[in-house]
Amino acid sequence: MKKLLQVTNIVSGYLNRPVIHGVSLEVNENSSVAVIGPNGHGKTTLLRTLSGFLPLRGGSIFFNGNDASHMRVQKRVEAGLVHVPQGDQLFSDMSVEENLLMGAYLQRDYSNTNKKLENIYDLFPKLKERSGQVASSLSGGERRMVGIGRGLMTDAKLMIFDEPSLGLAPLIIEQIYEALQELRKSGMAILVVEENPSRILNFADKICLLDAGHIVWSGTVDEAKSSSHILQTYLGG
Amino acid sequence: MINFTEIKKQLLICIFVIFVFAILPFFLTQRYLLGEVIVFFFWAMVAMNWNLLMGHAGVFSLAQMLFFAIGAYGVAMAITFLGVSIWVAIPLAVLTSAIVALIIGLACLRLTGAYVALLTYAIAETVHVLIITDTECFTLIRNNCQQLFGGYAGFSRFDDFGFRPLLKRNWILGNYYAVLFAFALTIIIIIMIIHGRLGLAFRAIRDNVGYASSRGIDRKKYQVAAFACSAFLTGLAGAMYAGHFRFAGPSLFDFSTLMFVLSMVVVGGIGSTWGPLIGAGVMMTVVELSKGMGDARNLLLGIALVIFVVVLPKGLAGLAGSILRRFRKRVEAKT
Amino acid sequence: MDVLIQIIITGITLGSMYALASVGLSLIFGTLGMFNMAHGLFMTLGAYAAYSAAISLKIPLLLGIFIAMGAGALVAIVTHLAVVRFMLGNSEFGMNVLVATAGIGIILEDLLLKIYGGYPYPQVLKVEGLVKIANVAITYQAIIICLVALLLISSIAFLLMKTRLGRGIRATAQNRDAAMLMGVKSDTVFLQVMALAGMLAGVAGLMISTQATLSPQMGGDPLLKAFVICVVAGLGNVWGAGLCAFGLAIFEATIGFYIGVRFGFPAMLLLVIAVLIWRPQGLFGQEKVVRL
Repeated sequence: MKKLLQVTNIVSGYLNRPVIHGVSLEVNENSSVAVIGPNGHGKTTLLRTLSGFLPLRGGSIFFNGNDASHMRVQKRVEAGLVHVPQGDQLFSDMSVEENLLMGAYLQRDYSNTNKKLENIYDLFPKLKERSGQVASSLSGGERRMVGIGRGLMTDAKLMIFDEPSLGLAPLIIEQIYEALQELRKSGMAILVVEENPSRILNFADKICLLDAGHIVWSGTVDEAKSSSHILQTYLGG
Repeated sequence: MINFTEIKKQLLICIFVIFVFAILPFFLTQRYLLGEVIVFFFWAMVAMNWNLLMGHAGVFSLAQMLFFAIGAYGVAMAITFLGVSIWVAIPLAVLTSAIVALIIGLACLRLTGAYVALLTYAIAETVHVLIITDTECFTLIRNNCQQLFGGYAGFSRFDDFGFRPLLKRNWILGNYYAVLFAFALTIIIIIMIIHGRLGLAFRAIRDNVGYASSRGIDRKKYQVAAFACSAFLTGLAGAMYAGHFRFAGPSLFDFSTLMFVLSMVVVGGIGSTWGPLIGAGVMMTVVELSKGMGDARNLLLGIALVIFVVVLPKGLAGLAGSILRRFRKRVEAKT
Repeated sequence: MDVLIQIIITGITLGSMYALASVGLSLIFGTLGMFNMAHGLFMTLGAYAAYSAAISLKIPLLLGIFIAMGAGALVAIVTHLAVVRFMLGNSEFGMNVLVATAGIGIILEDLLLKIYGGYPYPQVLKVEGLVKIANVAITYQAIIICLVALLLISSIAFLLMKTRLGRGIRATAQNRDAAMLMGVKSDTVFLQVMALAGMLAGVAGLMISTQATLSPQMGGDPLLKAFVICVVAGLGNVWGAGLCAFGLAIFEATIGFYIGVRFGFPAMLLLVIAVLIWRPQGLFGQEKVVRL
């Protein structure tokens, strides 16, 4: 299987202090990797570094065979590395449909774009109902759907989801993860970051544990379940 | 917390600076040069007060020259219309300046950042326009029409400090020491504010309003206080200006003058302690030296503003500070 | 009744010029987060550029308009490339860029003073003559001003709402990071916004100079009024700015007719103070919730 994302020993942080000290991970084509860990230990910093908002202070990032370590944010998106940010970050004065279409910003083939839009509406029928509504008037769950749908509109080769279940009611989280499962089945490479690991166990092929800016453990879900220490500390039981 | 050794150190520097300026006339006897130093005192006072408001309290006000003008106009109008002596006019003018600042501070309460800049600039400019477009004669002075606020020509030739009859040819020395007194008062008060509890409160609302309010520092109260404090002493500078030049006119509202003083604050270092003084000295020297090249003042101050704010945001004071720190580190490393 | 019509005509003419000036300013604030204190000089440069071209080449008004747009866009682009883009990462950007653009404004004004002298010229590039409708006289120039403003602003509206470039601009204005995550090149967007705003400012300057005279300081008053309009509308709200431009122009015209021209701006200012006290985010703006 081809290594789509290869992160080696990266160091990154804010001002004078590195938050991430030597993190390494890999995401292969057609696989899904989950990064879990307590809040404040570098998960969002890691993702912002992967998408290019934070400069790399050490180590390297290779995406699809190319050195992406110092690529600008927009270039990484063009290459197919798409980050669906925490808290949605929607375009608040644009409608649902305009937000979704922004995902297709880089595409020039309008018929393809329209097809993708229809697929998103099939996946999230609620959004079709509200397609003309302005994004700031949506509920939390609907906003999350727009955020994810927007990411799906891109020509992504690997999608990074930053806490897709954050702040949502359990029923909505179900729906979100159903959509993510569909995505996974369709063959998309996925990297998910979650603080709450309960969903991850049925979703990811591989799990990495991020603690205090280090990856302290990584392995398959089965390996995680069979290690009682991991179970207790990070998976609640 | 309040660093008493720091305050003592700064006050010593104050005293030294005042001392140097006090003995200066013994070395610099030319009337022109003494006059230039007096002008330096005025701009330095305005710059220091502006730095207190903008740099320490984080209030981006563009009304500083308005407060200066109120001081100057206050003196001119009190002497011209009320016939009082200058020593009564000065406190009246200064008080008026502080009261107007209080009102402006209240108007700006719900605003932050650049909105304050806009509102203060708009208020100052409105006053400016109202003054110069006023053509109604309020009274007649020496058979000349005198508008209520002086109109386009302003107020001139009113009574000044009164040193001419006393000191005759050396009248400028009298003015010099009068203005130096105001200057000395200003730097001492400002140093004590900056390094005292008020300064601490100002910087708290500048740096982290939320945290400050959670510790009981009311942004509104201190923002208004910052306006009033900085206007009080600026008004004093304006009042002394009127007393020295026997003039108060709408040229004080010129945008280029405002920017000139801003360049002193920026070049010196916004938020520093001695920056404004350094900036005032540097900018006045540069302008003086450039007089041979035609009127390059505006060009120079524009360039200074752009270069310093982009490249040296901490100004010359910040530069001096970092050089000093690097020097100290080297000395420590060697020992 | 005649007075009312006159007020409306004056208001619409003034409003057209204010709208041209404010829409650009609002666009810049919305996308870059910057108070462009040099905007008045963008206007003045547009007016002088058209004037110089007219004096030396005898060009028609239409070409003059394009030259004004070009000059405005050029100075805006240079301002961005030479100064503004280096300041973007800084946390004190808002205050710093205000000072920097004020500095640029002064430099430009002084250069114009040195090149053209301080004596005000009449703008050569204007259309003379007037037409009488009912009992009211409307100058051809006023009609041209309104038409030009209408055309340009609707073009900008179309650009912003219906084109890919426009979506990139709006997305960057609404959420810069998210826009970057969609592949929008923010550097390009900033440049585009400065160019567009500069274009509008240049034309605004040309139009304003046909109603008064050309002088290096002519941009100061329109700049202040444009700021006031943008703030009342809610900074960053481009359509609100356009609307408020007309509203405030009519207000100013009304005060001018009934109380006196010199009270026009002070009255506007009082209105602005009232709005800012009642709704600090502006009439159309949204309250910003700051999470501590």
